[in-house]
Amino acid sequence: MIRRLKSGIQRNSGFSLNVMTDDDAHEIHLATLEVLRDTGVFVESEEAIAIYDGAGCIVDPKTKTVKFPAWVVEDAIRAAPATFVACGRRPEDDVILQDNRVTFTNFGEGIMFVDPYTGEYRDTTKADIEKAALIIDSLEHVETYERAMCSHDKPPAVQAIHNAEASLTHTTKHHWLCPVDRNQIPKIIDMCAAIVGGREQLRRRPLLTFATCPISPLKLPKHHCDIIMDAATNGLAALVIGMALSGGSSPVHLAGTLVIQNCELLSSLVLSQSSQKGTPFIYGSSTCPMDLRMATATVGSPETGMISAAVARLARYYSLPCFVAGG
Amino acid sequence: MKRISRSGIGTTAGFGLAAFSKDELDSIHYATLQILQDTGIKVLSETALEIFHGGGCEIERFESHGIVKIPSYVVEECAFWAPRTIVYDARNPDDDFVAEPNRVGFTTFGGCINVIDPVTHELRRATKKDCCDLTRVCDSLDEISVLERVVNSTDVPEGTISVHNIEAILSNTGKHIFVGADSPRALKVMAELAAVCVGGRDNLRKRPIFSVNVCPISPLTLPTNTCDVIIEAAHLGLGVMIMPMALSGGTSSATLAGTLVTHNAEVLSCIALAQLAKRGLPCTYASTSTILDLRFGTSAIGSPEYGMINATLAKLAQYYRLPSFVGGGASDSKVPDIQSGYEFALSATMSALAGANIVFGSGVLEQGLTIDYAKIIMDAEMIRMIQISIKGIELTDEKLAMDVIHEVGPGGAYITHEHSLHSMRSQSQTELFDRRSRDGWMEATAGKSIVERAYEKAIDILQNHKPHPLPDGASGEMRKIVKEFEKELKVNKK
Repeated sequence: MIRRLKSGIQRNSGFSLNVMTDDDAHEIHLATLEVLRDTGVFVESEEAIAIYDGAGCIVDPKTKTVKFPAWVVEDAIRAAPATFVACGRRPEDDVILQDNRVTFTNFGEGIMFVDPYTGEYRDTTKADIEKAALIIDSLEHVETYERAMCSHDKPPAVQAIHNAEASLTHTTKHHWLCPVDRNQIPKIIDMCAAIVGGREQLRRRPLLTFATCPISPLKLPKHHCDIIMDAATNGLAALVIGMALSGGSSPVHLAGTLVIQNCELLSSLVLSQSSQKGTPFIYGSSTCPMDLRMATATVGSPETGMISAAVARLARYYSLPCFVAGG
Repeated sequence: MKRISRSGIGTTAGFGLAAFSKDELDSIHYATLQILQDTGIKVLSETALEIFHGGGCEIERFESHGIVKIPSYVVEECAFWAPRTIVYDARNPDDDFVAEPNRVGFTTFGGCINVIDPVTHELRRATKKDCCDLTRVCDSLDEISVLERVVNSTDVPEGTISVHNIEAILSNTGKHIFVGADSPRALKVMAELAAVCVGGRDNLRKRPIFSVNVCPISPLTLPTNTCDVIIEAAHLGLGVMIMPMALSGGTSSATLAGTLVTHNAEVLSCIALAQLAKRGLPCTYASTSTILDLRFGTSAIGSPEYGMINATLAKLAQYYRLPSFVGGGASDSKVPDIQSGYEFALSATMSALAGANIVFGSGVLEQGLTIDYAKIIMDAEMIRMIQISIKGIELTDEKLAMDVIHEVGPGGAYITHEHSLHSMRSQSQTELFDRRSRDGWMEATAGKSIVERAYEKAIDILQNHKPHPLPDGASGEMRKIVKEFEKELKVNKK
């Protein structure tokens, strides 16, 4: 039997989730703009406040409050690239992050460890990070690596450097890593440069992205601003992960939580784009509800998945690559 | 601040699965029509062949069977005659289930033959007592909307299993029941048993408290019993639930799209038979199709394909505007372990997001052979989580909480705000899933695993749950009917 091609019929290329309509996303966007305009965010860093001032925000240096006209926010959204190539040490480890391309990574960062040899429950060490990085390196379906644990056996002021060393030497995959503070940033960048063959090469193929979190509700602490600004000036992407606790540091209702978190992420985005226009910005979330009966952060709840799904949808609405909790 | 309500914006009322476009569902439909019209269906029942013939189908006769070729107009008309909205009536009217598109309920897997004993944890053949006990557990769980015959009573004489099953189930639940029938005669007896529980045959016709499961055999075959049970159900006015189990790569095409087509052809041919036998007979579009794992030779009901096929068929049922009853949550693991949890979560969520009316599969292990009490209890908790997920995120002014956000401001506390106190009940809550801190968990459970705690809960239900009472004398009346049926089949042991 002859079966000729069908002329253009509409197809779905896969299964996906109907999370919200464009109207819904717009609703959250408008609510976010209202909060950014009228209530604003608290910004701890004076250097960042100066940048916000220059970008067209209304700043109050006394209260360290920054308020955002809508155009500043929307310009920043347009300036950030929609596609981010998460480069690995080797080109075959490169992963494209954009609209609907789904990849996986491990959780980070764990502070306690169940020892695989003894079964003992204890603090994590630098040696544990090396093991975790090695395992992630071997797993085909974990495309990038987030530093999994914390070097408790090193002094806090240099833990991030040790975390980076343990990670960078045990996997060739793209790294998501929190540098913790400004002092450790240049050292980590030097380490990366040493691996890829110089700073120029690192700018071309950055194998590491700096991860950082605002503090809910609506606070951008100094180290958070520093990391965003330094990432931008060094040609590295910033992964900003909202960590609201619905019911604790944001409204119980997920809709309100999405607004709070969106304010934190978009105000961070403005800082990133005002520091260096076009810096890759990854819209992230590890927001979950606070179980108000148990007073614990319930990363295993259905709400965590629902928030993450909505955040991914918002990232698509903004054409930004995203990084959300799940699993 | 005044927030005047917005004029109609397009909004979603929950999370749902975006699976196929209308064009794609059309493609499956047209392919199905062509199979039914050109290749036809193998039918083994003489009565059914006559009904198909009378309905305008072309029949080619062979020695042991006939090939029925169904014209597209017959298929489409019959699909249209089947009622749009079905209420699965329950013995306890509070448990009536409205099967409109996208209203999602859950039930267990059906027809298992083994059970893991809740006390000894030993694997053994399921008995009629297990059928009673498992039904009672399901009856007590709000998350289970309707009852499958969870296990078969394997300790009763052949030919009487379905009759014993329904006696066990009727006595232990007030919810709507889905059961298979050993024969048309057995179905008649089952209807008598149900009639006893609702005060007579007329009442049963008005409120049929059970539906009849029928299974075509893939590929494209309707065995004698399947046909004759459908015809008997039509006489009795009982709805039919049509459940093929195509095994992609074994009894259907190794490509999922091809499997969907033959599956659909099997369901639609049964619907045609049912509607030609009695126009307007409630038909439920069902599925437990999956892949045959070609490395192990097993039907992999824990596979992602199981979820994909069943979610798609739920969408297809909506396309035909029929209620759906599809697989989701089944597992290939042998014990209630983490594999069984992962497998439940993936396919049950997919089928639920697709808007299936009944997602069946809780409690089951080992490719559908074994049922486990702890698994039923743990799955019920997961069902609650899935029900919360499909509700989605509501974006009303109240939920956006803008005034509260302005008021709390940067760095403020929500946990102490009145709004949080008023809204906290909207959060998901767990019973068995543990959300405590590590210390709190140790204190509350002494480190006892969730499986252990689930068995304990099951045993507690068995000891304490009382199902909706039967009318006076119904138990004795039912026992008499069952005894007589055994005598009729000459299998009565006495």
